[in-house]
Amino acid sequence: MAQEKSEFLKGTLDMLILKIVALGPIHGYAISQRIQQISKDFFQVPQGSLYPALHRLEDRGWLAADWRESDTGRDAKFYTLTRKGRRQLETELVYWEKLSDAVALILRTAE
Amino acid sequence: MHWFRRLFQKDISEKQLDAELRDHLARQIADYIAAGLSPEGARRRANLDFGGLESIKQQTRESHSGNFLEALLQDVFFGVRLLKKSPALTAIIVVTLALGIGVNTAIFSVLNGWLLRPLPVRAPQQVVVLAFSQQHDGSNFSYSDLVDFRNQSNSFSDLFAYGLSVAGLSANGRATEFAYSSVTGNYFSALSIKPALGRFFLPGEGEAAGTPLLVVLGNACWRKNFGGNPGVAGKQVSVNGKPATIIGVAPEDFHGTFFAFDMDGFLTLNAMAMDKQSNNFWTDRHDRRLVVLGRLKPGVSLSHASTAVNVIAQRLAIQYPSTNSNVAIHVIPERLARPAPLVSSFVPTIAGLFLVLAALILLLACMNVANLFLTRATARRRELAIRSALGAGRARLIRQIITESLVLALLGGIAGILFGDWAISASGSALHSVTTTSNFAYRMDCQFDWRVFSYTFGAVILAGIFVGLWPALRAGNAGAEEVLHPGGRSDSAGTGRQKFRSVLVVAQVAGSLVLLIMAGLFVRSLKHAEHMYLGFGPDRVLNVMLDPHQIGYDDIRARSLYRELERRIRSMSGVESVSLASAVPLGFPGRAVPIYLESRPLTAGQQPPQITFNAVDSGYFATMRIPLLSGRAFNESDDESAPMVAIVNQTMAKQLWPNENPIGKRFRWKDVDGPFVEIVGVAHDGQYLFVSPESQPYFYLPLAQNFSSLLTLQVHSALPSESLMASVQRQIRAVAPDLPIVDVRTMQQIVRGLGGLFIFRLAATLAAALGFLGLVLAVIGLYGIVSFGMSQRTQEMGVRVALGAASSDILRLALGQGLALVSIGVLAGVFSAWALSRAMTKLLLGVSGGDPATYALTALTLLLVALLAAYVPARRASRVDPMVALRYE
Repeated sequence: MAQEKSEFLKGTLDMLILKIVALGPIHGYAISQRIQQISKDFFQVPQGSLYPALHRLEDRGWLAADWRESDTGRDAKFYTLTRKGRRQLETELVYWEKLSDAVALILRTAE
Repeated sequence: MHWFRRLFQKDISEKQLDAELRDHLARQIADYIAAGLSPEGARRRANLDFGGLESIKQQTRESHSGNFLEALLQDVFFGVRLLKKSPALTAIIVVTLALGIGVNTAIFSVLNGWLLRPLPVRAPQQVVVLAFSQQHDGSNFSYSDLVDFRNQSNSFSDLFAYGLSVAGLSANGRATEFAYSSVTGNYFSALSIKPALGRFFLPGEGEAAGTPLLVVLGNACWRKNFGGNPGVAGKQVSVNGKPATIIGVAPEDFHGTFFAFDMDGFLTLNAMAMDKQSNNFWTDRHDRRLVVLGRLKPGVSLSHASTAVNVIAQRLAIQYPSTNSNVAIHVIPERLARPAPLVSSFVPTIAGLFLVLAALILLLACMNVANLFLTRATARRRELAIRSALGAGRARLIRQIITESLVLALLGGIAGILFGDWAISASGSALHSVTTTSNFAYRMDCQFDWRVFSYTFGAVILAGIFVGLWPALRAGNAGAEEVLHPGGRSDSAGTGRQKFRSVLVVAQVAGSLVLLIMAGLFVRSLKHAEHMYLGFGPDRVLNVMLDPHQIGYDDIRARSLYRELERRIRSMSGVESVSLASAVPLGFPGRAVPIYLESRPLTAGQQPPQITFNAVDSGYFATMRIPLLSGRAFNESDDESAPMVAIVNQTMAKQLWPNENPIGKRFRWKDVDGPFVEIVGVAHDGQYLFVSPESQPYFYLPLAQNFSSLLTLQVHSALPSESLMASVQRQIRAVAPDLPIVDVRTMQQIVRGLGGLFIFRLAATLAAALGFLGLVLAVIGLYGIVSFGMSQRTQEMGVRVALGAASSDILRLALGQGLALVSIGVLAGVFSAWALSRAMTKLLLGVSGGDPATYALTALTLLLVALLAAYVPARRASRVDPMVALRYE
């Protein structure tokens, strides 16, 4: 099951990150914690997936990053959603809704 | 440019990445401590969660596009390190690629010098050549035509022209040979070039009878004959005894507009009307000696200009039906009209053919290297599999192998450029030795410029990708489990790879057979040309060209000079006969003139045939040993006061008086109302302008009735011609001490020269060299492929032998497979060569493009050589000791 879960996560991780960052400036560790908490421990984002994804999204201009002082007193890298990122998120959400409706429909109808 | 900036901010981003990940780790540890773990336990747990810090860093780095360049550099360094590890293999690959790339570079550089390099003038792309053709016979323009086109055309900002000639230039009491272009006044202004010294001609200058003769010196001639004297402008000289003034010097990079030759200088156009045979130059529409060029007005297209000039040509045809009917003008970009607008049509064919052959060589070289690469890739499967297991992506592996092959190709390219440069200078000096005695200084500029380098670079990239692609794709597919599995044996080298090798064998055999067949066709064509009957005897004839006009003699003095020379030389020991002629077959061409038959007047709009003639004296047919088939030769009594006579060759007799006896028939030449000449003899056909399979019409006139001062003295001797050279020159100096000798060549030299067999020999040599190279590459390739294939199957062979197969069975098995592949390759090669030879029928003499003997012989040769190449490794395989083979690995 772990294998399937990670495959599933791979396809949706970008969207989840964008959604979390949309709530406000946030650093990498907090993003992984937030995803884990909200999903009630269903998703655990490995760092080996999280950071490549964050840097990829930053590269594409969907996320912006800056270093600022954090609650611990140390500087941390905070990500924020850019306007381009917001548009991307909207597109992905619409697509996701359609996808899950379609999947649900198939599962219901084929029962 | 995000990634680019990042490459240089690598340190910063590395530090930031490190800080970011460490921050994450610290927070995780803090959370575990808060949840009640001991600091030590929290640290260990967090580290465990985290996995390898370095591996995460690497994965994150690779998510940046900027890392392409970084990875590339890594791959290049890795590749170089790997190549250094196996220097022998690297050397073989580089040399093989260098041969392939070098051949391509050399051939392309010739093509570049010929067809691509523009004239060193302003906006060279606007310069076009107007090719004049009438009923398929190409010719140049008359001056009157040029004037009409100039006045009526508005597609060109300038129409200008030149004609070539040779004269004696006397300065400081010394006469030298002077090869020049007579040019219109606007020649230099239209080309828009600046003089190195003094001034150039002005538009209109020198374009009328009676205007002063002006000279612009070529830069090389100025340095050589005038010591680079900066005060040369204004100097008085004489050209063929006529006074002329030097007014300027051309810049160093300008050599005239006649392709591949360097002009000693430029004369005003009135130089073309200098001798008495050309006194109608300004008005005679039959006197067509001008090559016309134009500079297109900005925005005027080639097709627009072409349409416009042909409208004018039609207008002129109506106005001057006797000279200008059926004239068509082709407007050709200057570069495509080289060497001359009329013979250029087959140049692209030759160029294309040799480019294809050179590309084939590169393809063969690449196949050999691909095979070596594949062999090495097999040996490296473990390494690649380990890299793959350690997290290198498929794309990254492919990229790495391609990078390696590109590095090799680049090394091969550098060596290839050196090799190509050497090949060009070697063949250039061979070419120079052929042309060194001709009047015009040969100048073929094959220097490598950016076009050659881009072409070579393109070849390098293609070769690199071609060589690396297959092994790269295989490596990309290599599953780690499969290779690293302890029992994983080479049988997974499997069918795909074997299939690829089979394709290589077939392609190599086919490619080298195409090269061999081309070489065979060209060599047979040369053999045919060498042994064909030229229509005259080329042995032991010495040709000495003189022009007494060059030292100011008039015709009467010139005639007596020649008489005296003939008398003196005839009395020399070993001389069998002496004669004079205005043209030398395959050497110095005669002039084509219109012919008007007495028996068949032209109908309206019909054009007279243009036929080349030679004015010769009574000894000519004996000296040149040209058989007379009927009638008589010229004799001493055919002089100015006797009736005008002519001798025609078989082809002219057949074309103009079919099924009639031509003896006694009369015709006019040059002028429609000139005197009739009566045919008194028919001479054997021969080769005249250049060696060609079709016989050309030709006729002879008595020299006494048609004297000109530029003549060739021909001496037939019992001794080799070379031994006479010195004594003949001594006789000339005794009679006229300051008379320059225009040219001295034996008839054999002329036959081997540019107008003769040179082109055939060049093509045959080049094609043979390419064919040999192709054969060597194919043999090496075949040997490598077969022996590798056998070594992969050692175990199988061992099993077969252990089960009772005799070594002859094994040999048959191994050879049989090779033979099948080679046969397919031979078939493919024969078919491709046959298709390619369609394009080259024009280039062959006495042999068809589908010559069965050539095909059979080359195919057989290749088959035998290929079998030999396969036999050696097959025999080795057949002798395998089953015990050794089964323990193998």
